[in-house]
Amino acid sequence: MKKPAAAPTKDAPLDAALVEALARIAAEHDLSEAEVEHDGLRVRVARERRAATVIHAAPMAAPVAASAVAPAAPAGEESGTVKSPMIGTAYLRPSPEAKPFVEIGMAVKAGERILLVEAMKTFNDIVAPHGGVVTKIFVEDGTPVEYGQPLMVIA
Amino acid sequence: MRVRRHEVLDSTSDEAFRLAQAGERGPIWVVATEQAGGRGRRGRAWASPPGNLYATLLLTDPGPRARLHELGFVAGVALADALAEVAPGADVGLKWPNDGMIGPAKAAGILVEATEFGGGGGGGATACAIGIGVNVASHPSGLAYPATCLAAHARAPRVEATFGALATALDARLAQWRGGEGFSAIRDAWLGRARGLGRPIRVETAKGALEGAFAGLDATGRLLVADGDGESAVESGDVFIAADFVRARISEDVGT
Repeated sequence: MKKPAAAPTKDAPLDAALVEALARIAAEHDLSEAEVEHDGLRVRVARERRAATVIHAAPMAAPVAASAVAPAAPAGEESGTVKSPMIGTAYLRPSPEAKPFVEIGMAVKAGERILLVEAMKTFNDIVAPHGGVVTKIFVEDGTPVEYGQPLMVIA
Repeated sequence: MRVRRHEVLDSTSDEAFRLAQAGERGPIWVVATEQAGGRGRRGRAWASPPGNLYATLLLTDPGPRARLHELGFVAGVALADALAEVAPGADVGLKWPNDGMIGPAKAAGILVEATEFGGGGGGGATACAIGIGVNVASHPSGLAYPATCLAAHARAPRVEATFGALATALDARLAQWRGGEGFSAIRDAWLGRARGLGRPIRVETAKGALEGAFAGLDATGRLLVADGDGESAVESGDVFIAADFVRARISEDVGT
């Protein structure tokens, strides 16, 4: 289970401890979600299947209630969804000036490159796990992605 | 150690992936005397005249896919080992995640790329190309950062000796990494060579710039930047350390 280091803010010790405790409870009881409200502070931890508990490092002084929520998969995930095999930055095109690898409505073959995920200057091709037509793209060029986050749908 | 040598290639990493597509599983090195299409991060060009080293190591399934980014650190530490051997006494260091530095200038670069064969979704094999360029005889000028070459720091450095030192060092560091199990030792070795620790840095990411003090690496290798409000972990971006970062800001201010 990989967990990004929490960014300590002035209020962080309490928040981080709460999130940790919730994550532990959620993991132990195999819950997909755990939520607690205490002194006006609401913390929710969401887990995706058996994937790692995703806890975002609180960016600066962002409210914990928002930052502790994992990027949830769209409700009732569609079949044909391609997910990120790693944490990183997703790119839709090989270089800023180039054409995107795929666009909505485009037909792709299994094994064709559809996206790049950069993790610490390592560039990972994401290839289509099956053939079909790209019906949805969930990420923008240059956006951070988490492990298991839906990237696009090939129907 | 298997090595394939070429006079001219588009890029040694492109050739490595062509070999992988044709069934080559490595480990094998692809070396070129010069490159017509040397590449850096995000499609940037890597100047590749004869006299410098252009080499790619092709590996198949070197470790779990989610840990492949650690190879950038493995290769970085090996590169620093090799530079220190070829240019004894030079001030060798690493700029996050894996630029090879001598003094304040870049002497070598690394680009790690991975792709999947035989069906996506984790079912196939992962081919991984570790591309390394070392400025041996010459270096480009007019870049956004200072550059140097081994010839400025060692007497008559040779491409062949540089490649030998690099291949030996990378072999040893890959053995130390053990598919990810030994990453903490690699991380420690990297921190021992780190440029700019504790100093002001600027990181330019696809989503904007960040400034603060370089506070170290987290357990996965992400760059930690500290400012008044706390620490942020960065996993992709271009890093500018003190001197070059001030220079970059000055050129911004004058609108160039």
